[in-house]
Amino acid sequence: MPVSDQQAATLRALLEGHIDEHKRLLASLDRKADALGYSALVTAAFQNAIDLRFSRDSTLDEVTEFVAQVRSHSEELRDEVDPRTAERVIIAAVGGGDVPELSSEESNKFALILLAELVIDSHYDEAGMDEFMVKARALADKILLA
Amino acid sequence: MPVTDEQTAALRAFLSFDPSSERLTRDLADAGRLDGFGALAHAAFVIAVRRRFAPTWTSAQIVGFTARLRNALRPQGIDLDPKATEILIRKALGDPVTSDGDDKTQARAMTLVLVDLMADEHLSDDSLDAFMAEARALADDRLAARHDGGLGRPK
Repeated sequence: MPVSDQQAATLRALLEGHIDEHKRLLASLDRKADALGYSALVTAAFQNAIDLRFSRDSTLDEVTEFVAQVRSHSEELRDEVDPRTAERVIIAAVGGGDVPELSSEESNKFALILLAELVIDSHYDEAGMDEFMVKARALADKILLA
Repeated sequence: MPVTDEQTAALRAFLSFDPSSERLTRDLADAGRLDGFGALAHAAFVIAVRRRFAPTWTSAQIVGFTARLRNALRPQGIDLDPKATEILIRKALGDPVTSDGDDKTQARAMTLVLVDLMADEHLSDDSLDAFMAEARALADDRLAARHDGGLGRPK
C-alpha cells in the first residue's frame, strides 16, 4: 500500500514547523495501519535530505558540526541526541545504510530530529517543499513495494 | 595535605608546553604524590573553564566548543568523548549535572580541554604564575574540605 496523503501531510506539517497541526494529524493516524507507510516516508525523506546535504566526499568534521548545530537548539535536544550516535546515523545514511544496534524506534527518533534540521537548513519555499515531499513519497513507495 | 611546590611546577611546565613536564610528572608518580597534582589540575581546569565561559554561558556555546575541539583533535587520532566533555565543562560552571564516562575518560577530556583553553589564553609568564597561584589556592581549599569531611564544593 503506497504512502497516503494523510501520512504525507503529517510529516510535512512537522517539517514546516506546524507542530500543533503535526500532532493533530499524527493522532489521527491509525497506529497499526499507518505505521509502515509513515515510517517508510520518514526513512525516505531522511535519506533524500542526507543525500542533498552530504556525500561520500563530506568530512567527519562536517558531520560533527552539523550534529552540534542540531544539539545547540535546546537543552532537550542536547540531552536527547547522543552526538556520537547521531554522527553514526548520518555516516551510515550517506552510505545508504543504518546503524544495526539501534532499535527501529531509536532509528526513527534520530531520523526525524536530523531530518527536521536538514529541511530547516534548506530553507525551502512552497514549491521546494512540494518537490521534496514528492521525491520522498516516491522513494517511500519504492521501499514499501520492496 | 596542601598542594606542593613540585606539583605546581609540574603542572605549570605542562601548561606552558615545557618539555620538563614529563620528567617532573614522572618524579611525582614515582614518589606517590600525584593526588595533590590531580586536585591542582582539576582546579586549573575549573578556573580556565570559568574564564572562558562564565558568567553568561549557554548550552549551545559548550556544545559548539566541544565539537570544534573534537574536530581539531581528530587529525591527531584523538577521539574526545563529547558528552563527557560537555558535562565536565558544565559541572565546572556550577551546573548540577551527573558525570558521564569513567574516571579515565573524564581525566582525558579534562586534560585535553585544559590544554586547549590554556593555549588560547596565550598567557605571559607572570600571568601564568598568577593563574597557577589561583589554581593552587582553589585546590588547597578543596583538599582541606575533603580532609575535613566536607563536600569540597566549588568556591
